[in-house]
Amino acid sequence: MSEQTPFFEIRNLHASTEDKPILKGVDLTIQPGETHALMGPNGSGKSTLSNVIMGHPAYEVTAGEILFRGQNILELEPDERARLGLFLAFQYPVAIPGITVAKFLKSAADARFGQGAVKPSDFIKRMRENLAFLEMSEQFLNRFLNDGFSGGEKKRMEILQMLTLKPSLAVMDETDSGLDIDALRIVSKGVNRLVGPEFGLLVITHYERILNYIKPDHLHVLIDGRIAMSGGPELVKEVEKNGYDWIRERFGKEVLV
Amino acid sequence: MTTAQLDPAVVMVPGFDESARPAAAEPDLITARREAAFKQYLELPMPTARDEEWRRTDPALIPFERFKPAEAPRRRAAPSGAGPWDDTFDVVVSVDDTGFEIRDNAGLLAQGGLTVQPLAEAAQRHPALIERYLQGPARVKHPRKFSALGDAFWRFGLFIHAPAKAIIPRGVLIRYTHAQSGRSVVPRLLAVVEDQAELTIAEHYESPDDAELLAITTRELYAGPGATLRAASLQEWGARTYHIGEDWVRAERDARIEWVTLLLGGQVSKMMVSCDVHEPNAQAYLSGLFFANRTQHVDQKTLQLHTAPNTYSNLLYKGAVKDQGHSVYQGIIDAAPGAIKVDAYQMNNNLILTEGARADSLPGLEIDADDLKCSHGATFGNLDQNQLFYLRARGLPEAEARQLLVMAFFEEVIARVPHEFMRERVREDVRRKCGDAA
Amino acid sequence: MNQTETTHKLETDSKLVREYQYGFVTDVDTDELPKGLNEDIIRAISQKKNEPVWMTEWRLKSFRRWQTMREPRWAKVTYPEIDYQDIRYYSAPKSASSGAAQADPELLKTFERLGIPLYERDRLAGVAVDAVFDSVSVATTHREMLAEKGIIFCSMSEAIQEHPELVRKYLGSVVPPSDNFFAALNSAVFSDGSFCYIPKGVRCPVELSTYFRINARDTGQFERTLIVAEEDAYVSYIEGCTAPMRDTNQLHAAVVELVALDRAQIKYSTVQNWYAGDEKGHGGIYNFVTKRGHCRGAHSKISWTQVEVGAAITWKYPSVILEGDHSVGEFYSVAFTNNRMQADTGTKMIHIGAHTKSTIISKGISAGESANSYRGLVQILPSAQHARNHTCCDSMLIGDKCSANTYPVIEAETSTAITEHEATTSKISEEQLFYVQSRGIDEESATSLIVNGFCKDVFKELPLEFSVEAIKLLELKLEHSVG
Repeated sequence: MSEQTPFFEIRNLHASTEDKPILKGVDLTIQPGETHALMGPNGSGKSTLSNVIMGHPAYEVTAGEILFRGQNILELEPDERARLGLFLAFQYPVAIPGITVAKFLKSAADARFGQGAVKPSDFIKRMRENLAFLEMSEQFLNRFLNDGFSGGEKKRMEILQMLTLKPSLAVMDETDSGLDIDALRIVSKGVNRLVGPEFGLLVITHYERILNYIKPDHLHVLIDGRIAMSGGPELVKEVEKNGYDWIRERFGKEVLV
Repeated sequence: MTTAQLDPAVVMVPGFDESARPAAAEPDLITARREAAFKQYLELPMPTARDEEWRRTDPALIPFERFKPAEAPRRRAAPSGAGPWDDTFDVVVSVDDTGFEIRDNAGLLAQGGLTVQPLAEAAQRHPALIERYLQGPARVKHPRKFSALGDAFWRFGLFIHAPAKAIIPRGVLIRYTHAQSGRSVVPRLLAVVEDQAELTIAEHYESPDDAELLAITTRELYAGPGATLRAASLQEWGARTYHIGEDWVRAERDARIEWVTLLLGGQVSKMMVSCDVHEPNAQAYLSGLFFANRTQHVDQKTLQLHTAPNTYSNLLYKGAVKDQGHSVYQGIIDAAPGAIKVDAYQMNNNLILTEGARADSLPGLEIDADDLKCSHGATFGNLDQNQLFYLRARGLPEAEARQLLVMAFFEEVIARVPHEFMRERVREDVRRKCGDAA
Repeated sequence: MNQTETTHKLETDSKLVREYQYGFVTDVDTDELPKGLNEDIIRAISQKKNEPVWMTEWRLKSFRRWQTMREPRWAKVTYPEIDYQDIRYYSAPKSASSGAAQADPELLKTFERLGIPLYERDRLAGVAVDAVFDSVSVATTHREMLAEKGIIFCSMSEAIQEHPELVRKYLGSVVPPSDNFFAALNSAVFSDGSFCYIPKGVRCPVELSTYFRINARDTGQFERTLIVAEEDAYVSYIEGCTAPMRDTNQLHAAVVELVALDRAQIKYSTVQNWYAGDEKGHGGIYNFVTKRGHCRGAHSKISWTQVEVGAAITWKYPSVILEGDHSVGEFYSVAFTNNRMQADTGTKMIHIGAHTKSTIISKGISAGESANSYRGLVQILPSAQHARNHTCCDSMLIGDKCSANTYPVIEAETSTAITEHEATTSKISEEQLFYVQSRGIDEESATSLIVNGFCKDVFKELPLEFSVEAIKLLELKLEHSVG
């Protein structure tokens, strides 16, 4: 990909929900092979950003663009974005009683790769492999989607879907929240399987803990709907040690200047 | 309502007057029961939209005057063609405009392990049973117009009897296929499952979209002590069929009833089921699925009657409406005085899929005993927006995601359907209705 | 016709007196019209009140309409035929006037005994009271203070004289005379009631309250209340009711109309403790009431809270028409029935505007041989896009001779609305009773604790001091229902 058309680029993104502005000019660029982490205090707009990237109808984009391989995706429906290769691992995956995991995965895979692109026997084989890799029981396939799942099971189910759909760019919205260290290790293992030169990743998190498993190349700090600071992996430690106040302070000054 | 001074013109359901009464000679027992029912029929006024029960389904929606009672179907000697699922049942009864046949797939009838006979024949062979059960004790509540009509005018009567301890593995399928425009069909079913026996009865109703028909069905089912009765009906009438059905079910001590009604077809359907959990430890599971699209009108009433202590009932009716579809669900849990330790539950969930559609729900409780727990719930709404977004975020186009969620909504009821063929048929119907752009 | 009302022989059974401490009769000179109902009686009522012609005509029109109507019989209550010609439609204490200063000391004492002091010196802090005795208002307190803010709080009779333009504009605009049998009757014969008008932007600083007292024998009470809250106004209104213990039934057929304009809020609370009759079901008030609020303006809100512990028969469905977009309707109800009492009560929430929201919480408690029914309608019209309703109706049974019924109707005509209804009926929990008793609390107190817990979602909606009163009242009512 040439310098002129970045892989994934967010330009001056403004978004609001229920007429309340949340994002106030976000700029972010991700190149293939890069892993970016996004941190920020509660209410800074992290989840809004992930929902807007995926096209959640409750959010309204008031300005800016999101370009994926040069195409503005804001005009696209959520399913069109997914079929282009975008993936969102939800912070709170919804339960859908009545749809089994197997049925759901098959429907999603057919939508992404085309009906019949994957032979049913191959599909099942691959499902089993992925389940085993994520240390999940095969019984999950017959359970209703996320219905009665524990927090950790839901997050693993998100990663299972990610492995199945093989996105080019994935956004993980606080996937680490509420996970014990074992589950965190498994989830990270799943994600790292996809990490490679053709894959871009945005890890949204509250804690630096997951960044020990999924190593970011860049860290951005989101405060009050804007990227207040960006840096290399070294910034992680600083945020861990000193919190966000110093960034907010410095950012505030910069804005005033 | 006083009875004596009713004007016959007000009383008669058009098409069902003296002249429509069966002319052929029948056993005395049947004649006597018909006579009693006819008398009752004359005593009950024709319902109008002013009656509470018909307020939401104006009888004027049903063009009674356009229908003449069909001839009674005659028993056919030779099979007239099989349905695709016939092989999965022990006994198959198929009824159409001209005839009926009873097929004994497993030789159960021949061995006497099960009785499936026309009512008139049964009245001769098993008079004591018919005496006891036809228009029998399941009719606990006040008489009703269309049950009386069914009892007086039925054209095809069927008696099913599972003797004590008989376990009928695959059960009985009754297929009704009618196509003759301008006719009314009046089938009548009486089923008795004796002590500790186990029987499944599946019914399937079908008519072509272009035939204008009226069906008035009356069913009466009994589960004896410790018996298990599974009754599932799949109504797939064509778009111009009108259906009034009144069903009466009763469970004796330790009996278990699993009742499933799948209402998908027809222009207007007005159904009532009264389930009497009559003796201690009797249990009833009542499930319903309905989907009214285009201009369909579906009205269902359920009664969970708890006349004895320590009885259990659990009801789940799920429906969807779309286009100009209108559904009405009315449920009553009635716990009689002394019916203590009753546990009764009733849930009605409704999906309203498009503007223009309408769903009404009247979930009632009538409790005259104190030591019990009865509850009901009703919900209305469209598909969950977060679920929809989740599916779309995984690449499913909107129409497909919506259809999948409608299927998921119904799955809880579909899981209660005892036959794979019916489950598949219903899923297919639901899929078709979701995709149908009116 | 003048006549001194003779004190009727009070039921002397001490237990009963304890149960209903408001059962006394006041000995006052009354000004009454003869029993019976015809156009002359209506003209006489109107004349006594010196009403303008339009009001007399309105009454007569209502009466003519009423004559064509039939008494509703769909409620799950039974009672003998009411002889509408055997009721007195007007009875007023001769000394009645609308200032406490001039009021008959007997009347003031009566209201004091009822816990409603009307003397300026001990009037309730933070509450303005209008007291209605039989057919007329006898005193309204706090008037000057309210007048300064532009709030009108007076008897309906006065309002007709002094604010005819407002009365004409709003009377019958929410409950038209033709609405139902009892509303038509009320419109023809109503004698008094309260009128409240809160002008634009005014937040009424005190609770407004009307206290209704039926005293005279064989007299019906037909009061009419109208509350109008203009844009951005707020008012909290409380009504209380009692009547003497008499062995004949008396009819109470009131109409209450509420109008809320843009962003206005009306909170209407009732503690209804009419005499309920004795253990055998003799006597008691027939409480056949039409109450309806109209959220006319956007973002307006009407909230009904009722604690119904009295009356032989209650037939009452305080409702809200949610016309303004984003308007809110609420109904919180506790209905307690004992002995042979019958209650058929509930609400209607009619959603017309977009984003309208309603909440229904109903708690029914049946004891003795009583019958207690919830009847409700939630109607979501096609225009009510994104409407929301949540309904929860719980019934508790104390004893095995009572009944509890729930008859909700939900009609949903838009795919964007969400409604949820849940209801349960059960016996008072034996586990809870056992637990509480095991801590040394006797059965009666334990029952009352549990019942209070059961009702807390409703009690918390009442203004604080009335909440305390309501809890005490319910405790008193429960005292003899256990065992």
